[in-house]
Amino acid sequence: MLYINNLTKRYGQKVAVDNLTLHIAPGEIYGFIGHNGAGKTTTIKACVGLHDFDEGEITINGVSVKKDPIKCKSMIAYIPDNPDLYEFMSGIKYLNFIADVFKVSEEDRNARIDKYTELFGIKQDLANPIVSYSHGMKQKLAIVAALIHTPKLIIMDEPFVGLDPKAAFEVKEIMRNMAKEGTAFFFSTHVLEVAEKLCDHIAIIKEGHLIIDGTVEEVKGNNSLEDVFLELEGKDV
Amino acid sequence: MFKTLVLTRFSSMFFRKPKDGKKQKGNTNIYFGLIIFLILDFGFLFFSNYIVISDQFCNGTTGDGTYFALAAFLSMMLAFIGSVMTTQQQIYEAKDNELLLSMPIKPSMILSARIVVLYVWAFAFSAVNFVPALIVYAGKYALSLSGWIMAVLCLILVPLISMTVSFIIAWLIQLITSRMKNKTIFNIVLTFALMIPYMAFCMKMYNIVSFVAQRKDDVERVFKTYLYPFYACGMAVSDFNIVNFLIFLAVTIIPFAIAMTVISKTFIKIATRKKGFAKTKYVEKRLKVRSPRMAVAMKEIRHFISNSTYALNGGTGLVLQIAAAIYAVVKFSTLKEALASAINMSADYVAAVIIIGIASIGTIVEVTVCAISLEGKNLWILKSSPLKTIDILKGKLYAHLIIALPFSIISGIVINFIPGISFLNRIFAFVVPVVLQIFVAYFGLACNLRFPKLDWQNEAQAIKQSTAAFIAVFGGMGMVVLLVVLSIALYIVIPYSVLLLIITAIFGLGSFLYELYLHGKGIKRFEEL
Repeated sequence: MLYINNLTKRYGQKVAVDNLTLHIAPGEIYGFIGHNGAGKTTTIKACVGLHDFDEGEITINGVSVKKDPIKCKSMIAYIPDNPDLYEFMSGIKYLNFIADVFKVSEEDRNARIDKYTELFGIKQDLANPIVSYSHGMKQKLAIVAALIHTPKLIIMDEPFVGLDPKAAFEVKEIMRNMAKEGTAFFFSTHVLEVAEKLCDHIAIIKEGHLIIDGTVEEVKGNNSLEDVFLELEGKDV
Repeated sequence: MFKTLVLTRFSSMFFRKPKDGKKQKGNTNIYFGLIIFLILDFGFLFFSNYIVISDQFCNGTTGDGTYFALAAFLSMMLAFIGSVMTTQQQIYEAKDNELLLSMPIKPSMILSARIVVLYVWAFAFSAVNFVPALIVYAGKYALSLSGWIMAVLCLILVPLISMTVSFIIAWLIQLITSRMKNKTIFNIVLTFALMIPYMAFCMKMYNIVSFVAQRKDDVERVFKTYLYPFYACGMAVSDFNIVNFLIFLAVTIIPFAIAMTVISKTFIKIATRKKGFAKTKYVEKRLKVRSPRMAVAMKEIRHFISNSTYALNGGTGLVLQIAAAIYAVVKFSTLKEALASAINMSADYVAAVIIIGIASIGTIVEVTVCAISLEGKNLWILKSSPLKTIDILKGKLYAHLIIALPFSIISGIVINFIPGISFLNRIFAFVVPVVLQIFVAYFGLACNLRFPKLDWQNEAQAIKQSTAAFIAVFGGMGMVVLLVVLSIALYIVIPYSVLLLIITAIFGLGSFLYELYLHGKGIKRFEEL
């Protein structure tokens, strides 16, 4: 589903991501782990077309992000780490706007908005302006907006930050269920426990370099993911 | 720390940090060039007014205090009108209030830094009026060294009065609106309440100045009776009267200190008050399906009408356009006679000049000029969506046209009520305002693509204090003057029908060229953001 081949991104002299290669299959939940500034967000933003990149290739379902960004974006959903949404809109207007942008039919948008807002407990607040929402509510709204066009790939940057335990549980359940139906997930996280329990595959990145990737079992072996991560973090790149 | 806070506030008001971190000297120079132009422009206007007033009010000896009292009072009023909304936004609605209050910085220091910035802001407004008054007086009668010292001290003190009043009003606005669901209407009404007298004053300035200049005794009596502190200020400057200066000092400092004490005691409470909203329970309704381009346009329109600063800044030109059309209909015969007797201009040509003048008022409509800047931190939504860049840009353009064109058409309808207007003028009464407004939409968008400001702390910075906004405002004002003057100047050379055709063709061609720009460089610039 998502192929990142030899991705390199530089900010001036600094190499933020260096020759990174990752492959995420349909129906896979792929965790992307690394310390702050390791290059996770840069990689994610390159995948969703927010950042240009210097070398390499990213394809989504065989379509190049550089050559046909619109087609790629129509297949994916992106949830940023900080849900900056249009605060002048009400929740329902925002969801309708996203549905318009992704050309979701009236019937489908109604059904999905109803289903997911009910699930996350924000349905009764949809008429209120987003500016009145808490951080968690905005995060939930961003997740509902991401699900509205049933994307084939969902890319998330720290998706569990700001969510209450119930909402975090619901998100994980949705991820598992959608993955079973073929949707791929690629997300960054600092919560190693979540990555260990939720992910099929894990990649650890340090200073823009891929340190290790593989199934959770391959990466951690007989240790905990935390031990492996801390040990790898201590090594020089 | 204090210096850092002040500099941060200034930079947030005036500068944009580019994505690549490189300084953009050219943008800063344009911005400051425009500010200097504005200061000189208004300074010259006040200078010419004070020449008229000084003739009647001053004799170069003692007792010229009323002249300086008037200058101080007008400076205070100008500073108040120019800073009251900024005061509210900078103190109570700055987005970094909670961040700074969570840091180990004394609230008094945060507040003081903002007050210093507001003081400089108010001082600039005040000085634009007071300095020309001083220059006129000193040029005519020579001001003693003691007079200069007093004048400078009074100039320093005058903004404190306007700030005191602004603080109180801003404090009250915040108290009233902090729990309001729809602040927009309240803010629009308030701004119009401030703007209408100001606009009326500007429009009737010549008459007011002449009226005031002939009534020195009445003005003096008003100041002595009702506005004594300003009279004391005037006497301190003209007669070097220390007692009067001390009175003025007390009147400026004491209320300012009281206002500061009250604000510093309530700052944390008001700045961190949870923005309350009357909760509305969602009732399912049929959702309207739109094309992506129209969805962007509707989002922009929603943004425009939900933000009072945006609506007022962008929409005042629309209201003025219709007001000017009504005025033209009422005063057409007077205008026709004046121009006919002065330069023998035909009635049809007068009507054509009116059409061009009214259409050109539409050039101060600012919707697209900040539409990209206003995306700010939300830019990721559009950029990660499957929207073609041209659809995003066109959506913003459509929003401008959907908002502005009905007003252009209404102004055309109103112009059609001018008695005896020719058929050609009737048609062009619609065509010229519409074509010009389309050009304005393109021009604003191109300006914003060239000078985006995405790192604002509050939306007013993107709307009013960006380079793009300055260029659009001055470009618009310049366009009004240029088009009207050119139209009148061309009277002898071309018939009115040719004039209207040329204006339509120029702006039609301009729009076409900007359309080409959007499809090429415009798309590239947006994608680089």
